[in-house]
Amino acid sequence: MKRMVALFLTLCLILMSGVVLAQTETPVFTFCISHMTNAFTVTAAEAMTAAAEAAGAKMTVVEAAQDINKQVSQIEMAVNTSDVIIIEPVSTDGVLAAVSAAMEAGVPVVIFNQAISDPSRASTFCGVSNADLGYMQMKRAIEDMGGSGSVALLLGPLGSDGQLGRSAGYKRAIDETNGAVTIAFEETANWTTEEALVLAENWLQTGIEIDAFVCQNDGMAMGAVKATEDKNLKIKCYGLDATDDALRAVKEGRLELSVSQNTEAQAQASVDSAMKLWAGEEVPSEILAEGLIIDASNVDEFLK
Amino acid sequence: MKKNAVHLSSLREFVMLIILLIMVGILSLLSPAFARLNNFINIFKQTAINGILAVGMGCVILTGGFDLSVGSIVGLSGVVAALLAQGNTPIIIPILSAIGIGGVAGLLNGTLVSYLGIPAFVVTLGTQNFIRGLAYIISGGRPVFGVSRAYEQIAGMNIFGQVPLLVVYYLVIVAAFAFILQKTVYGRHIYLVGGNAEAARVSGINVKDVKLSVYMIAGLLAGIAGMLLTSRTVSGSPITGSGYELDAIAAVVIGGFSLSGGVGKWYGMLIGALVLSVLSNGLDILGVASYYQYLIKGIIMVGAVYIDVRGRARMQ
Repeated sequence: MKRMVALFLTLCLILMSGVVLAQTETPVFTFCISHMTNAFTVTAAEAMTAAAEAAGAKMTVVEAAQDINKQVSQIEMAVNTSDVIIIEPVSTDGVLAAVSAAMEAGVPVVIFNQAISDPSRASTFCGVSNADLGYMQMKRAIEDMGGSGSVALLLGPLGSDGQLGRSAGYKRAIDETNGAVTIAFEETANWTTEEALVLAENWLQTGIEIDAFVCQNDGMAMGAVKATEDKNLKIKCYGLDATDDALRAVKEGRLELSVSQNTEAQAQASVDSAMKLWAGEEVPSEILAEGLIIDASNVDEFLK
Repeated sequence: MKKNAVHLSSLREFVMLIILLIMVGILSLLSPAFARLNNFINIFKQTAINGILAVGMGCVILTGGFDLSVGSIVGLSGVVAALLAQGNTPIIIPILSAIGIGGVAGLLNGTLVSYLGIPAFVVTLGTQNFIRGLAYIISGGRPVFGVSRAYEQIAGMNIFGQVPLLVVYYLVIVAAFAFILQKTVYGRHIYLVGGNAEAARVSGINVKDVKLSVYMIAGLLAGIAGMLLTSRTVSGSPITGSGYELDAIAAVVIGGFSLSGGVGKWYGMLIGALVLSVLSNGLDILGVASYYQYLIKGIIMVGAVYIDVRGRARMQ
């Protein structure tokens, strides 16, 4: 009996070492994504998988359905199965402990798209500056208005990283006008078209002058477009994310522009960093992709 | 005795009608933009989706049941409608598909609750997840765009100058159910099953079939709501409709329905849904942040039921 147990344990050891050896041949990455229910996250997961495949790595994607508890469990699991973990955090604070635990266990961590509140705990951050995206978008809206006027803002869920950053960018651009541009309305539509549509309808109802709808994502921008078209008003609407639908609307002249956060570039940077970390090389603590403005002049290049 | 019972059941609708009128009055005083005719059309437009769901939810609640899956049905039928409403496809195909999905989902809920005897809360919580999952799978997690112009017109077209068809559908559905609940034998059966299922069974009503049928009604109406929402927003998103079941429940509870069944009038469903949308429309126009809107909605809902409970106690 004892010999059987010993034999069994030895076999297990051999098998496990085989697994460990196999792991060191092709890098295994896990991408922990917050959810897979909108265009951005689905594109991110696809771009990540494609970039890993091109680099000769194996990429597993797990999604947490916006549940921080679930994401922490997934990170803990990935520590045992992966060489590098790439995380798009559900919560900028909630993942901190799990990130530290992974790093202490010797598994490097790349944070993707949304910075965590203490970036020094991870190996690197690959993303885009939401403040820069918001600034680019608002700057163009202000230029189009001729430098003065009033804007209505449709925001993401209040307190989310995207909302806070993009709103900070808006504030910077608006402050630069020294009061020439004012905010007529500002409210969250939680990234959704339906909520944006209702808000825009109600705002237009007030008769207060609105020169532009500046929206923190394309879904909400399309809601604003619908509300203005229903009322036969010509108010310029600005989107962000460069979804296919928004780009078609840009092409048709219904939406003024959309700002691309260059998801593919962010995913590529994440996989490049993961490959370097796996090989034991140094990576910078932050790699930011450039935002791109897509308007009527260049929309054809991006329209699939 | 009988007369008294009628008074009791209509008290909350009456109180809520007064509250609705007071709200409209105050909001009109605070903002001239609120009191314009086209804003009232707006309010009906913004009530339509929740209002249609509330009609279905009202029927289920009248039998003492509960349907937590209608929000997911809105999501699934909306996504399927958007996928089928591309290009030159005749719009009847997405319309019938969306309504059909609602019907099948309702049949599933009804069968599980009525014939297998699983509690409605559990069944519809289960189907809520199941149907939401299907919506994600079918859409690949992305919103579906490219809905044709013809399909957009289903909800978007105006008649009589500025009345959107969306509002017409809603009012037609309310009128149809007012007739069914008030004037038909079937309508009386719905009330009887919810009021006293045992007595209904003894008097020869097929309680199981009545219960099954109200889930089908809720499903069909949710399918219609999903189809209309896709037309209104010119897109179908798999997350659409999350939480709509709770708004629908809130509307019928504010409208005087008892969650234990048997009590509630058709106009209660209309008033309850209007209270909710007048509130958010008015507060948006006044520029009140949505956080405070949640507070006010919560207070109104509990307050409405409290006034009702106290009123009943006094009358007895």
